[in-house]
Amino acid sequence: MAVDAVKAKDGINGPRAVGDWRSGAWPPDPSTVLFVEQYAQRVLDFSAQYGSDASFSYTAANCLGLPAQFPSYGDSPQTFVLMSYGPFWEKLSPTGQYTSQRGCTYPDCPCHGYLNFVDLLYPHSVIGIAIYIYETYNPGCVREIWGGDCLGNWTLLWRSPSDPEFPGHQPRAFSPPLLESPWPIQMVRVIFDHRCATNHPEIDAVALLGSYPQTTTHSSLLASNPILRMVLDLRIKAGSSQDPGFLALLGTNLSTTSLSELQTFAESSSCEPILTANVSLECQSSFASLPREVLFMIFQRLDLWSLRKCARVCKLFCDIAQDPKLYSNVCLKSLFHSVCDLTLESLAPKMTLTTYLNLSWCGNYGKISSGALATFLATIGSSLRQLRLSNCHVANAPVLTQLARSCSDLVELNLSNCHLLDSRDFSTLSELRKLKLLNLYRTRIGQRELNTLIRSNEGLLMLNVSACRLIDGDETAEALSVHCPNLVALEMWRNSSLTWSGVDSLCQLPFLRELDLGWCTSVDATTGSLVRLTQKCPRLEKVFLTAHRQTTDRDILAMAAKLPRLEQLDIMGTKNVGVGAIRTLLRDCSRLSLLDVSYCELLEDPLFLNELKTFYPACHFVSSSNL
Amino acid sequence: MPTIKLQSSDGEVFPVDVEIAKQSVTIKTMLDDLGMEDEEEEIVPLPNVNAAILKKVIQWATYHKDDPPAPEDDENKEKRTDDITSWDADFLKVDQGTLFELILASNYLDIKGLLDVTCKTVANMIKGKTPEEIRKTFNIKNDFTPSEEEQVRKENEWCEEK
Repeated sequence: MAVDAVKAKDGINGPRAVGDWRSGAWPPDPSTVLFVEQYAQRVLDFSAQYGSDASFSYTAANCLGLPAQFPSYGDSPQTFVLMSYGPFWEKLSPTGQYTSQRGCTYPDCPCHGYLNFVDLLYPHSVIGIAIYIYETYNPGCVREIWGGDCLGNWTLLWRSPSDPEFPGHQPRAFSPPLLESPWPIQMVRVIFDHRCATNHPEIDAVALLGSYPQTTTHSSLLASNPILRMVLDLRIKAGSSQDPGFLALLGTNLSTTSLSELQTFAESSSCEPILTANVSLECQSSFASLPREVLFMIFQRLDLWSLRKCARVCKLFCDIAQDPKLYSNVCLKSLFHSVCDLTLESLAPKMTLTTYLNLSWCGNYGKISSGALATFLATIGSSLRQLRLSNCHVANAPVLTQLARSCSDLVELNLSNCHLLDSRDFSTLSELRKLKLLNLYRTRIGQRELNTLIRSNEGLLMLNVSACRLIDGDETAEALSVHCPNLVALEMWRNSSLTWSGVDSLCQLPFLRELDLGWCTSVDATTGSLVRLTQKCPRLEKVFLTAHRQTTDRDILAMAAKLPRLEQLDIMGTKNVGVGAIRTLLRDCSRLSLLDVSYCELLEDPLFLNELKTFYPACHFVSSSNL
Repeated sequence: MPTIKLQSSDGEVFPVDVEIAKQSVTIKTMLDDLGMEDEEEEIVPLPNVNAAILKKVIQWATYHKDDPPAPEDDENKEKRTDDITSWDADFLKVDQGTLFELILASNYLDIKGLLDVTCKTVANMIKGKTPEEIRKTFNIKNDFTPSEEEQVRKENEWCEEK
């Protein structure tokens, strides 16, 4: 692994005027249409990153500025590395329900596939023409692209027509044809669905190309401007492999073409009309003839968005759509672009029976006020059992206070990435006593507040304190071993203070099935702590020891002997594990479906990897040499 | 295999294997309660289902005769609408009138699997549409008064198309 790398933070590549971009005359003649090719200036938010906040390696900040890796391909610390990949995070059964990276609890929720996102801010507000996402490792995971105006308003720019597919190992500047944005955008949200990837996807940079200065009216500049229209059409026809200089180069050519020619071209390539389905009107029975109970059954199968559309169709539909039984699960995550105070106000009266609420990714940039969220929780909180507020930065200290007061029956609480909360803000949560699932990924919870939570929730089954920089790993492990004997899953990714002593504490948790200690680099396996762990926690199915370095054959052989249920093992970066131990492991742990041995010096022989793949086709091997 | 005779509302009689017919909880209860299965010539009248629809229902039940029993009610599972098998999807490529008649029949006959897949099909026809498109698709009249319409529009302003 290379050392930390810092990229240029200011990615402005200079606005360029059509026909005059080389001279760079600025400020330009206001009558000229300008194109700006710009790179992200700030990361405003993201859901998860491989790296830690203590360094730049593998963090979201690496998608700022110009591409640093592209067009080279492969794992690089100078990129934004997504936290998870492949189907594995959903696969663990039945403990999969405890892992943090999963979507909604109900299977057909529209948020399915909304696994991760990053919000990027650009120097100039533009009418977006093209976006280039530089994917330098495991491409193909972009699910949606949204444009934002910094006030919490979002407009869809592109949506993958189907579940993303892996296009093969090569770098690419992904640039799908964009929908026209109705207003200028200065932010881009990229949503990733990386279930198709076979290793961590890595993003190098995200370019936003658009016209500048912005139009003063809300009417679409693209629709009214033939030059832009043509550029867009040409770009789409040319495919997505063009480099970003393409547009600027095209600009020089454009200046030599007459406007009337462009106009003709633009008109001939106007958008096709929207197709509407033909409907047979010879109905003997009609929708309205269905009994109310049947209509209710149909409505039960609708997502929230469609349900609210139905409420506007006619009186009967409106009446049925008020039924609180239709709102037992409310997931607003995939509606982050629309959720505002009014949403909460209008939904609250219908949510008297709601047990599951997902407000992850919602309300940011001023779209929801914390007062409205607190009032909302006060109204609906008593029935709630599961509450997910991942990346919901509206949840400030007063909201948490209200949450603890009103949602006293909560079984699941997800505050992952709510990093604006201060350590003290978590103290009010001590009123919660029934938590089984608690996700605090990348929050600033302090040790005292965490201890209180652990003490008051003895039924805890799953805890995620990955990348929580203010907590002490050993103290956390000890508190868990004393108070939460039923713990099933623990994620402590990137906790640098956890040592062998903490691992010994974890030995008191005999029901542990999932343990993520990736990048807990102070755990020294030479003390035998991992061997003791395998002896005391025989139910382990997932063990992540990423970058532990000191893991040895002895530890692997102990797992082979003691962990018959092992399904996922990550020992990336260890130098001492040899071929023989791995062969034994695979022979004895027949359920193994994921084995990450990247950067393991003794295991990099391609012949050995081929042997493993041949003999264990059901296992996914991750290696730094298997591109 | 024993058979029973089902009579449609318009008088047509369909001989059906008892095991296939019993996918209908309504028919199963009738047979169990009344001990009708011994009577070879007994005809079960189904006054709410016409011959064309009954024929389709029997076709569906015959294809699904070996399905495992439907799981207990699970409100989470009901949300899923993307799991219609290709045979069912082909089977339900019918006009809307027939589709709604099938829903009514499966509701009356209490055939959980058929009711489930027909409701899903209608749900899929609703998903992603605007209120006006839903009205057009199903030929539904907008019966809101202007003030009611304004109220319901306001309440749902947050999820208007952008």
